[in-house]
Amino acid sequence: MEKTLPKPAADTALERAAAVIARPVSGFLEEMGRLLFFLREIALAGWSRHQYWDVVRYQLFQVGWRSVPIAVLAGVFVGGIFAIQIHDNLYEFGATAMLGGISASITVREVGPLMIALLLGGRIGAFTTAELGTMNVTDQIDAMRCLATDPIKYLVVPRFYALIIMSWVLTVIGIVIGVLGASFVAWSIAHVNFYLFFSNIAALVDLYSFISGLVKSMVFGVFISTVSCYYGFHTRGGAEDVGRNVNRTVVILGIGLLCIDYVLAVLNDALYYAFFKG
Amino acid sequence: MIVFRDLFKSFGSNQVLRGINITVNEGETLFIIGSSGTGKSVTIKHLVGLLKADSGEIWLDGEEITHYDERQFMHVRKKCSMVFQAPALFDSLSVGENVAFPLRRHTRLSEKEIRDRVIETLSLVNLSMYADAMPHEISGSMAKRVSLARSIALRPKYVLYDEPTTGADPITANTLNALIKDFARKLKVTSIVVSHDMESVRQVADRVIMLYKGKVQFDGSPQALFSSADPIVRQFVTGVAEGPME
Amino acid sequence: MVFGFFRVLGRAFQLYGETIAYLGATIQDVFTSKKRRQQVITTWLDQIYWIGNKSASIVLSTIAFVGMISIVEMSFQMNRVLHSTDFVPGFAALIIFREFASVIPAAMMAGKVGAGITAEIGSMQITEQVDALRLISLNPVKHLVVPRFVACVVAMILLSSIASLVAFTTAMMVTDVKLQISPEMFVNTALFFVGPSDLWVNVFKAFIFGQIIPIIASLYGFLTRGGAEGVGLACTKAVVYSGLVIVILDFFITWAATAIL
Repeated sequence: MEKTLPKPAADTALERAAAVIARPVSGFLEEMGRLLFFLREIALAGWSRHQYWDVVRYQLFQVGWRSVPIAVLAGVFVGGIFAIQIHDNLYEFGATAMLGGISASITVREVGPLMIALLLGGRIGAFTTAELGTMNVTDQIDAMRCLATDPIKYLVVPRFYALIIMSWVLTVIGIVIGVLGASFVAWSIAHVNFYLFFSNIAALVDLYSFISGLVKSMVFGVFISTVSCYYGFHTRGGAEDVGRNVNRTVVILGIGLLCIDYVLAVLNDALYYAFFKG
Repeated sequence: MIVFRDLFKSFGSNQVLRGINITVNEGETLFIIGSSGTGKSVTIKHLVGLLKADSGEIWLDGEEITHYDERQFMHVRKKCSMVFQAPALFDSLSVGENVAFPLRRHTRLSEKEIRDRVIETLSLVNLSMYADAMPHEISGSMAKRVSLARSIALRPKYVLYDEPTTGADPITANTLNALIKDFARKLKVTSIVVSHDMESVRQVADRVIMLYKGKVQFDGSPQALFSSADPIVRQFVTGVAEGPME
Repeated sequence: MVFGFFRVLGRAFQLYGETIAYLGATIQDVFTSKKRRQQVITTWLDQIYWIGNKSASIVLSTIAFVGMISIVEMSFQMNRVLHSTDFVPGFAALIIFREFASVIPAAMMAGKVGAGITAEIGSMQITEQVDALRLISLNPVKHLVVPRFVACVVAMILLSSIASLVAFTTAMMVTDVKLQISPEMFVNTALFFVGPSDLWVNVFKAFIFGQIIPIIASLYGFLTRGGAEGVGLACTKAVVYSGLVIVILDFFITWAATAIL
């Protein structure tokens, strides 16, 4: 069919360049649109009262409970790293008393949600794509449809709920553990005692920061589950296509999470100054 | 009764179905045969809404289902189930849970009734002792039988089989043929079997339809098929390489 | 579970030792045999090209956003604590060069390249290709792990150097727009804070992380059992554990660096 279309007259260098840029851009926009449509499908299926709660419980265990040890370990060390770096900065200004406040504030607003999102993306995202992709290429998803069960409702919606809930729970765990790790480092390396460390947390961490952190982690949860389920569901062909789509999930999650984080950080800043400071 | 009327379907520039007209009567076992790529599986996938027709009509028990949406097809699928070429068992669930899967979602049976129904259904395929095994612990031919059992757990009126004996060894193929016959007799299901296995046709079929280039080439009893004078049908039945078929 | 942990840890050290030993042998080959030299160098360059190419896009685009995020977050915190944003370029540059330029590329490489290596070696393992290699008396570690090891280390050092510049640039752009600090001013402030030792620490971290990723990835590749699900599971484990090991080692390197320098 495409051969019969008249060849576009891309003669000037400018037009050629435009064509080179236009294809990836339109491909990107198309993919975004498909993702949004998929999200809409998930939302429609997830809205109704009848849900497979047993599957949600199973997924909560799979997604969440098993990630707790890793979240705790990562939290301790990431908290420690930031405490060392922030202490280095503050030391030159003689402001080490602020160490606790700034570590906690950074962990609540930025580091905690992002760390947990990257962890869940690596642990759950690629695995979900591989799992659903394998089900798809072995006809299991079509078989489920033929047993009059909506695969979106049975396979995707429980993962979606589980990921959102667990990204909240894990973010809270990550934040608490991260602050504890930072306090330990502050005490042992920077000689800032625990009382000083914790006493100025309240001054710098307010409810707004906490809520913005949780909103962020919810957006991350939605993003991870939508992308990974989408690429699992839209696997065509055989095992190689599963591999290709897993790769796609990893790349899109990596870039997407940080991109979303930046956008949310800017929005958050604007909101904060608009409603609280001014 | 199932009726396909002037069904057309293409994938991109590849015109697969070019006006299929088939009527399936209740209680019969209909075989759809033909060489690969003539649209056998494509035809029956329209019936359960896995594919959407370009044009034409599909009627199921006096209802036109051609333009049903996904939710409406959910009702169709309860009385019209499908067995895939691959066993397609859900590998996170045990054999018994695979069979129980449609029962749990679509009936109000109690736990005990479900358990009984699962054992009863599995014993139809002689696998009642494997209810607690996981799919990767049983052999390929057993998995195939479990997938047959799963598709009749809801006691559907129609069962569609997509190449049930392809890739099976001769003994397994015979077992599967016997099961298809059994279901038709004991459970009074109407079966549509997509196949290119002439041995199955000989053993099981009540009526045979042969597709060629997206159209119905032959429609009649197995006896008529094997004695047909049509050169294309003859070539397919005897399986020689030279002839009018490409 | 505890024994399982120590067994895997033991296997990891064993694999690391073997890799270093065979790396030595390969380098010796390069210097003694002309035919092998050609072979080895071609394989290495191929692998470097593949691994660098595969991970460049994801590493550079993520680090670009990290540079921007660190400015937004830093200026928020500094505004509240020091009531001035004058030193934001310095602090941001410090944390970019010391931490982000090595950790973020390493994490992304673990997801992209590490999982790829595990999938490759894992599917060779379950289809008995690894045993087939042994049967024609080729050592799997020497032929599968060493080239990837070399390539990952080289690609990691190159990419983290480029990444630090990319993050620095995007941070500079955001600072210009958000805080009205000119690029010139930005560079001056940043250079006041960042010393050559920070750059060396960055390279050292990249060197270490570049070794961690291929070792953990190939370890889980060799440990793969079962069918396609086994490979998927092994990939997930490789990604998660290399991320975790990277973060833990990063903590100790940072600690040691601040204590020594």
